Amino acid sequence: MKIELTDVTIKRLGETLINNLSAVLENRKFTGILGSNEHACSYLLKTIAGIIAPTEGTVKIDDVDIYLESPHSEQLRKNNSYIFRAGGLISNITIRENLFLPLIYQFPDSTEEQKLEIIKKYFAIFELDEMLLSKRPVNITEMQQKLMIIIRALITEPDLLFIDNPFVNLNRKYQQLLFEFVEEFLKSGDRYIIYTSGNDIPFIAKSDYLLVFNEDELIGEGTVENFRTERPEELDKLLNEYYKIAV
Amino acid sequence: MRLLFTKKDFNYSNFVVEFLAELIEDYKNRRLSNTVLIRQILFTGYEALWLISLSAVSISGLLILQGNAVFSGFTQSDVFFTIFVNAVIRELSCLITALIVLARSGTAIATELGNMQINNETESLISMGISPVSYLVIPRVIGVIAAIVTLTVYFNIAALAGGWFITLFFAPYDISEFIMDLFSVLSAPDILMSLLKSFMFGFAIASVSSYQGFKVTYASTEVPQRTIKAVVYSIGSIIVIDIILSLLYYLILT
Repeated sequence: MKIELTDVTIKRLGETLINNLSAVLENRKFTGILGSNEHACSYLLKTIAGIIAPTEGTVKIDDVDIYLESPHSEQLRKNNSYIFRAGGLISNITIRENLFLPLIYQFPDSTEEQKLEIIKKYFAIFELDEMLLSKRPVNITEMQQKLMIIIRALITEPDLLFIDNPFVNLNRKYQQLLFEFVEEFLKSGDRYIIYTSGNDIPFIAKSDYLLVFNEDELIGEGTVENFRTERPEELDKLLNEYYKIAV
Repeated sequence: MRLLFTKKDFNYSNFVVEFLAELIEDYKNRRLSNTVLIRQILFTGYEALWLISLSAVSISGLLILQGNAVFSGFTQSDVFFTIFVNAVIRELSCLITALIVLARSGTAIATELGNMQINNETESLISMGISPVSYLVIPRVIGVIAAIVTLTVYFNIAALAGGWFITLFFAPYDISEFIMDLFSVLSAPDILMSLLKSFMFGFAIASVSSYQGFKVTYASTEVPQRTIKAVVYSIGSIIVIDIILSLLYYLILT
């Protein structure tokens, strides 16, 4: 899989979050977007995922511009999933209806039982009570909401998974479960993850490629090993000592 | 999925074009969100019935009271039915229904969609490959139109029934005679105009409110501001549509 960003600039409310970024991620299984401005990193992740168009520039996945309407770009979107940092569940429907949504749109021919079976499989992986299915997002905890967002992103079995701050709102047990799942996910075939993180140490240590930003500028990219040997001080400063612990 | 929401040039005309394109696509693929549609019809239509009833009976009652204050025997005259048809059926029924729907459902739509914007709910639909217009807007617009047209018919019936009942306070009036007298003045174009106006008002209220809801981007403080804009622009649209359709009616039929 090849992700190509060309002259990407992202502006919000007159503030430049990402300035003229050009980068190519080719067959990078596990890429981290790290930076001093987490907000900017989240926007960049959403831009790569096809959720918010860049103010300027293009984003291509496998040479297809994801912001041009075409059957190719639609198929690419269907193969992607996004795990939000927080929020993102539709608040006026139940958890069951929330989890059914992507399945209804992506697998319209599957039966209700088949859809429920898939959901139950992920409930078992994350050791969750099926009673949650009948509740509304407002009636469950923030951690349970985050877990539902994770499950909703995974049930369509995406090839490319975007994760915005994976460990936010999760306790240690679920952080561990998520990380184990991510390791399995990456092992199972042609699958990729791009995440953004402030301090999710296991993720940073496991990454095979990092894009590191200082405010709106890309100041370094490469493998974790590159950073450890060539630019340790810069990374150390950006990650507030977390990187050191991680590697 | 079309990609309007991801883009910078998100304005009302683009929004309406997107709505029509998605409507055709949804119709072809039979994927209208029935749950959202039914909820919208129940909220906009069923839950507003008592307020519509109250307004309809009050309006017809006030018309009769004021008419009788001007000259006695008002309810027995042809003028009563002419005024009733022109004022209530052709104008007030759709206007008052539209204002009630705007006050209840237009504000609710703008607020709900605005909050969904803040809570990443719209973005989450996009991330799942679901068009927010298809899932959120189309059922709301269809629901509001269906409800407002039905409510207008109901308003007319309630106004007539209430009107007949209030005439009894002034002079005995047989219901069948009352209906016959009314139909001698009422014509099919009057009813069609009332329904056409309702249809257009419903579209204006639902689309303007949805659009304003989606214009919320960053903070919850934008939600009340956008709701106010939804009300103001909807009222503006209703007035403009009413003037245009009334002018067309008089130009074509008189």
